[in-house]
Amino acid sequence: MILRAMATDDACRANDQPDGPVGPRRYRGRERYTALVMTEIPSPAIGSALPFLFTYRDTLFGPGFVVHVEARNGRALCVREDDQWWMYGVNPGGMAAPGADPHAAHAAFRKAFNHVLVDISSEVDGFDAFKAAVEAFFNETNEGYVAEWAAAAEAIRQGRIDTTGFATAPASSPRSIEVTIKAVDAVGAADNTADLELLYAEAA
Amino acid sequence: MPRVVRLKDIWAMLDACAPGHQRRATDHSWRVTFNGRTYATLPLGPHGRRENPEIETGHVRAMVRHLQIWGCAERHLTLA
Repeated sequence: MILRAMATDDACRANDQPDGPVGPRRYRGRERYTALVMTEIPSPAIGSALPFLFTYRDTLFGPGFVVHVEARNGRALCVREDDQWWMYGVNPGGMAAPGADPHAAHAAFRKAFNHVLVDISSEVDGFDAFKAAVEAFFNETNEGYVAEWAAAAEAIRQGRIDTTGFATAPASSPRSIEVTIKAVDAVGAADNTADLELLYAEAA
Repeated sequence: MPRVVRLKDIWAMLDACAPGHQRRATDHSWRVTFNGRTYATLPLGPHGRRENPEIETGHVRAMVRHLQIWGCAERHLTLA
């Protein structure tokens, strides 16, 4: 698993918070999300939103074929709401997943994404139908979250969300989905591992 | 505790707000399609499909935003 958005305890120390993350403290004018995201259950304000770009790679079995799916620069908005964190898909727009913290929400989101692909593979009668259905799923936009995602990416650009320790990518990074037949002799042990990349989106 | 909505209440809301919608259970989730848009991850319920499970409201919020029926849906369910 490749997880580039990795925070460490060093991020806490770098922010002069010896007691670790306990809430939406501000440091040098920035909200401290970096360590919160990956180390402890966070408690920033309700409504806090984190914009993500994700890249997932899956190998699946369909009826008579092995297929490789690479979804690049999908968009998701992670929001702390009244009960827990929710990862809302923007592209693909037709999915969401919750978790106790952003990391858990993303893990659930990743799993749900794979499950959708598996469900599609069980419903189609061939590769062409699978490819069309997956492309349609990925490219559907949840218009209800587009503006919030863009606003959160702008907050990254303005430095209102601390991205120390996190990789960022331009919010305009091109989105694509590639669905290809995979030769059986090209399948290897690496295909057993969920391959993913998660980046903060930053407005231009 | 996560806020929840009963599945039967979600179906009633969809019947009112998304007439003609289609829904079907897959191995992992309910798939709800309306006006060419599909919400693919509405839970079946804890431990698989159940008659009238509790569904976390975040899924409902995401679904009604995606299906573009928010205004109608919030007259039927508490979503905010």
